[in-house]
Amino acid sequence: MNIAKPLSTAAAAFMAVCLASQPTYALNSSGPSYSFNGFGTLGTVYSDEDQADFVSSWVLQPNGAGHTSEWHAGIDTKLGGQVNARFNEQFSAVLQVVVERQEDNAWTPAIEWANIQYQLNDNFTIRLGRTVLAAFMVSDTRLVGYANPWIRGPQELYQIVPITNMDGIDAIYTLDFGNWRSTLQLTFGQTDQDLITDGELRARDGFMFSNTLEYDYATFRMAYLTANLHLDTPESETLLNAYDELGAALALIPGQDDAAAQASAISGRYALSDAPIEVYSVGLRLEPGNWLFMAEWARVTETNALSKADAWYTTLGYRFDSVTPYLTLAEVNADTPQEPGVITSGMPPPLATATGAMNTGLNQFLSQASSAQKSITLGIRWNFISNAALKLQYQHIELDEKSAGRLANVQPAFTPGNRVNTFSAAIDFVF
Amino acid sequence: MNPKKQKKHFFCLALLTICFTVVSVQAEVVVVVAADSPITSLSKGQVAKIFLGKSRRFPDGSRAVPLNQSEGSLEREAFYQLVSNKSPTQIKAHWSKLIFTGRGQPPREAADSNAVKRLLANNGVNISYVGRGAVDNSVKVVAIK
Repeated sequence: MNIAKPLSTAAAAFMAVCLASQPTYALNSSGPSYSFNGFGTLGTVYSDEDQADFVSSWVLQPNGAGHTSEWHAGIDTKLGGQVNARFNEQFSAVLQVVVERQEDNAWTPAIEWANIQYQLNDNFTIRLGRTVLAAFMVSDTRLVGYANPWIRGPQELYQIVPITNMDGIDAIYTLDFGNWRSTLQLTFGQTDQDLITDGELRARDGFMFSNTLEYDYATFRMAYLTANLHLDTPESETLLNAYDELGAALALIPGQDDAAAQASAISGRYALSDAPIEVYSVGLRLEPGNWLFMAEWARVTETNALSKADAWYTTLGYRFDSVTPYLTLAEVNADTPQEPGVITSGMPPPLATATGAMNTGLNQFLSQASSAQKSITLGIRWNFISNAALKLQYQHIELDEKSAGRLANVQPAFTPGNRVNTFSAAIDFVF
Repeated sequence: MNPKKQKKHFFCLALLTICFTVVSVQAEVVVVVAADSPITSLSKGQVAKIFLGKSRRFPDGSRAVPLNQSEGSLEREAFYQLVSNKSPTQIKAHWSKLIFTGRGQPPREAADSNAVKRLLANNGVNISYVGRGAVDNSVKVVAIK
């Protein structure tokens, strides 16, 4: 699987060479043809919670609206460009570059997709390189605001899988029977991502299966994703290393054998290294006439420090010509962990104090890794010109009493269980 | 009738006329292929599949290449309403999805009905649509089942 990254780099280089040597815009079907498309969003978000930040990605955005600044423009704003190259009936390639705020707050362009596609026949396609990780129903267009009803996919569900692509291979098989269409997609791959606060995420042996059934105005999708996850931040590493050292130290103190064993077990239990994670999801989309109805449900299994979570949302919209008001209800319900840590009874007082502090830190770390919140969103989309839409969204979030929900950059004075009001405005465009 | 009221009535009448004109233009879009094409009739669903990038072939298995009229033209709007019941914005959003997932590019565009007819005459695999008034013997009207 380690060949995947060089492959996507090779795909990008290959396309760059092709583009450089063939600057002509060929339209005839015999030679290679190129096309360029772009998309983007200009957006700003307001949040009334001043002890935490509203973000659209908890792994990529170190801060956002609320604590850092009441209004923040770096949450939804992005610009993407895509070059498609078609070499013949079978071979084509895609390179998509997206500029958005990264984990270091810099607006560095990143290669979102770079793959070569081989179409064996009308029904069967294989792609090699960096491709979309379509964990949920609108994952494949989650960066293209124009293609989505809302400003961003409901965070309760969509942030369960915060990564958007994988390096590897995927196969798509489409089957038509009467008015039904079934699309089966299999993806194998891996990914490396830099996270906020110098953290790092690695997914290995990733496997994703999805099947989409379409009939007239209805779409039904189910998906399964698994990967071996390695996720750490300097803080989590320090904390878990401290338990290891505590375990070693306690082993030397007579009568502390139990506590030593507890301490040593903790890092093994919560370290996210090579931890198998599984995500199940189902989604339904109905568009009868001017109505839009969407609903999705997902479950992520308990994976060491990440607790088990169920999430769902439902959206209802109605299109009045160029204006579409919509309403979304969403919830994520992670199991809040109760970890006693290492029992301090019988320890010398200074050690008991230090161990108690570590236990508190451990529970804070675990509650950050489990999100629980629900929200109601009222929004309106207006297609004021043919290739752009203005969207306004009000979201009222109820945080679980033990959780900061999907908020990030949580400050010491933050009180869980708050109600948070956010307002977002965005212009989505394609060109 | 006072002049103000008269003006209002005239305005309503003008509006109605425009509405009817639009409706009659919409009603008169026909699906066309090259005059020598073997295709004689298709269902709305079959035409929609070809134009929405879901099928690359006619039901008989031969290659089908859709050709659009220019964006914003009445023919184009009426055509998509007829075969897919979708507004221009919905069509645009549909293609945004396909383009930005690397799954396809929208049909090529011809400037107007005359350009469509010229292109159809040169290429037997093309399928397009024109206003009924623009039909001549260079193209064949496909019956919509």
